[in-house]
Amino acid sequence: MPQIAEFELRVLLTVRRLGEAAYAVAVHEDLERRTKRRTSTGAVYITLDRLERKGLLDSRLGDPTPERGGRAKRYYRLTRAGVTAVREEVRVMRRLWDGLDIVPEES
Amino acid sequence: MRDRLPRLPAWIVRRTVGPALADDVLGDLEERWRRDASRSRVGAWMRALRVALSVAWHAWRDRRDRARPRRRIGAALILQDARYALRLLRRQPVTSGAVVLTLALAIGASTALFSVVNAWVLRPLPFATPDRLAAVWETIPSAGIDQNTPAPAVFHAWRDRLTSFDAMAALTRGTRNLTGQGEPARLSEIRAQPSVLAMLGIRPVVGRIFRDDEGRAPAAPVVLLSQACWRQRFGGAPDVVGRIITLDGAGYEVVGVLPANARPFGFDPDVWTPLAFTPEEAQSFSRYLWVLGRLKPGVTVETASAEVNQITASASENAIGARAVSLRTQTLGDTRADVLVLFGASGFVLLVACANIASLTLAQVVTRRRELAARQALGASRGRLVRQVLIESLTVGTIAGALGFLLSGWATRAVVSLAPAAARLGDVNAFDPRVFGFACAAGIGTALLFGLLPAWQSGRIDPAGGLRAGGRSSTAGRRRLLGAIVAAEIAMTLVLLVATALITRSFLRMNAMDLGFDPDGLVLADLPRPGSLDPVAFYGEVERRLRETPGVRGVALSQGLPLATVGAMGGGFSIEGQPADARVLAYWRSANADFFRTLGVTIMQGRAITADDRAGGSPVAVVSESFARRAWPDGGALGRRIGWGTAETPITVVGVAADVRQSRATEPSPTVYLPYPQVDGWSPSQIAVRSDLGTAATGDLLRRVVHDVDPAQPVEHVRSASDQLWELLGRRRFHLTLFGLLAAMATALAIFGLYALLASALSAERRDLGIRAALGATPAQLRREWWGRGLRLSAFGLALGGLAAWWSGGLLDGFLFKVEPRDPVAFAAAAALVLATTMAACWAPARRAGRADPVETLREGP
Repeated sequence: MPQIAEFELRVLLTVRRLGEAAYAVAVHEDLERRTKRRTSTGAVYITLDRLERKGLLDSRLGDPTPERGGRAKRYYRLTRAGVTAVREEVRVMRRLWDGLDIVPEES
Repeated sequence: MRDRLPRLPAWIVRRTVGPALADDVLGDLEERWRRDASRSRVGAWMRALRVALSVAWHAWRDRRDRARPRRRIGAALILQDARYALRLLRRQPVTSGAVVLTLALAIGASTALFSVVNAWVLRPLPFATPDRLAAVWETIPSAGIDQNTPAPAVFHAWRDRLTSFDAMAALTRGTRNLTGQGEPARLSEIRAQPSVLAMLGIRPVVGRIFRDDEGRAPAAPVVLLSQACWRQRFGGAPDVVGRIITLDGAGYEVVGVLPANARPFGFDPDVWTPLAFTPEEAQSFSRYLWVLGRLKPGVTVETASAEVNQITASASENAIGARAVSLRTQTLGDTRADVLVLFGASGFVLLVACANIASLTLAQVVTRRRELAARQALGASRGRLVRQVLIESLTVGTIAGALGFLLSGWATRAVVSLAPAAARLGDVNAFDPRVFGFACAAGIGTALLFGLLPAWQSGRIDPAGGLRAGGRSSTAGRRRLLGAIVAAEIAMTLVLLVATALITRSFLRMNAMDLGFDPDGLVLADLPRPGSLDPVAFYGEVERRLRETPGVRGVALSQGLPLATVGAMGGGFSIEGQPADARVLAYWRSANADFFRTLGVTIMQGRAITADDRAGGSPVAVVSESFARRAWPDGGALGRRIGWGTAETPITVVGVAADVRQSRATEPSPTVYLPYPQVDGWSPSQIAVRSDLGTAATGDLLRRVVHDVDPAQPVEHVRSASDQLWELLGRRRFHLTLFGLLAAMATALAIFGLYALLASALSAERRDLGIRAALGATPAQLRREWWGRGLRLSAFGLALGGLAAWWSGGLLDGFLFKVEPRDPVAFAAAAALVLATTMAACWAPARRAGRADPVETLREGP
């Protein structure tokens, strides 16, 4: 199973959260809002593409619209492999956090 | 109004990402643009550009990461390469097997020699403070003697006056007859002052060592056993301490057992007894002590040597000197140079093996061009290719190293069994960790040596050139490189062969040295001093009985026969009519009447010793030629008189005998032969019997006769003179055998290397040959050309090797006997051998070259 980088994990989580409306711009906006950090647009595009190449994401094209110059919008969603990868990553994180005193409170 | 996306950002995106992704990005950008442009064109433009650049940047990063795979853990990659290497090796089992085997043999040889070097040269002596221990000798510069055992008087003078040592002690060797423990046996003995053991730091295995008071006259009747003796004769019983054993008829109490490494001067005696000097003995000038000293901290052995020499010389008016030598050098002696030179020679063989493999691997790089080029085209970087070829070499090196290490275990034992010094220097542990380390280093080192060049070359394969069949990329350069490697092999082989030839000549010369007596049919034995019977009566009876036996032609008795390593005593003889300080230093031997005839020593003038020269009769002597020449250079030795040591009456010279050598390697020394009944206190202890009965039968006869005369008298060390001479040549044989083996290995490798080079060049140039044959070249011409190639290479190698052998001649100094290191005959013989083997290697390829078939080649096409 391919290893996921930290940024890739964030993107995957955001795609999951957005459900049906997971397209590049939305992912970028949601990520920035939730992480409260500036995120590079290019990074999001490339990461989504890479995750698809890795088989953790699936994509489908919507309908082309004239606002997009006749281009379609691409929607992403997690594949089964993607779900497994995320779950495993979270498990690993939990194991690392287990028993530590620096786990922050829910705010 | 533009309502489409501005061109620059769009262009950037399209140029940097694939079409599908570009569409996504551009779609979003356009959507955004349409929204923003109504508010602020510039802002919108900036924003679009920023996004485009961000996408381009990340795309570039992503592409770069993909092209260069993240460094996986090194080990995984290396293992992958190693597995691939093994597969390659399996694909060509014969070549790979040959390569691994030759390298393993070469590594095995050098590892075996290293383990010997490790055990004997590198390891310190097993004594306490080994670097401060030294042996102190008397020297007689005028007679060329540099290792004379000093007398007690000299020893005590040294002890009182020397300041370089903080401790000095003496020991001497002897033998004892052990009775009461089964068969009477003769044991080798060291009599040592108790401080010797303390100085050496030897701790007993059982019991204790001597106390200081046991070394004060009269010496206490106590004895220490060696571990071997304890195990062999006393069954290793722990209750041996306190037992009384009978040595030379007297009772000695066993107080302890010494460990196996208690070997001062390399002696390995069965028993130790304390040495004590009465006040008279302490002033004796009888030379029989071996002296050990412990240097004061900070004092060098050279300083001590200079001091002891100065004191001794000034006391003897420069007739006698002295020197101190570190115990390590003393114990090692010649062996150090021997094993180091042999180890160096094995290094040569290793280099030749490496060169062989390097040339083979280089040739393979050419044949694997396509494979390497394809891999490069598929994305492998140059570094990766280089690393892979290197790992292939390392795999071979590791396997060969492991195999070589195993082989060396056996080889070490063989080397040690051949080395005469092994008895003195002890066992060699072939599986010492340092030896293993050496084998590993040798495997890896040789792998790097023969692997770096091909690896580097494989990184330079041009993908385009490689994939095109028949592409020639710097073949000429590669050919020259391979040629140079093979020439170097031949050069190194020549050096080894020259060394072997020189050593062989030495050996033959030595074997041909005239001993001055006839060793054939002579059987020697040791008869230690008889316990109970009067010596003259005993020996007279033994001699009589032996001579009465049919088949026995003569019996010689002496306390120092030639071929015995101990026994001939040295002394200074004063010449009547010449000043007292013009003494001739010579060996003296006691002899019976039959001595000269039995040994076959020619009497040049006068007569031999006869039965009439009895005790109480007028003292007579027979002197050797060299003695006569030294004492009376103008001739006329007969009738002259000489004086010796404490003898009051002068001795008359009645005969002059031919010079006798102690062994083939030594020069004859002046010798004086005295009738044994006339020598007080020294009875013969060695016997030589010349008979027609053969060695075994003669030995049995001797034992029977001696037993009949005195049952308590043991007969030891029965051997034939020829066998003993053979044994004495042991060191020479050792050199010869090992050098010969190493030279043979190198020669075989060099022939193989040359042959392989020519053969591979042949297959690479097959087309050329075919074309030339088609254009009219005759088979003879082609053959000649290939002969020429091989011989030219060989000539180059011979020249190089000849120079190297010439220049390094001095290294073989200790190995040669009456042969110059630049002996032309040896050089010529070695060169001839190399030439002959070269021709053997060239023969098949040249023949094949002559058979080049133009039709075949042209059919193959471009």
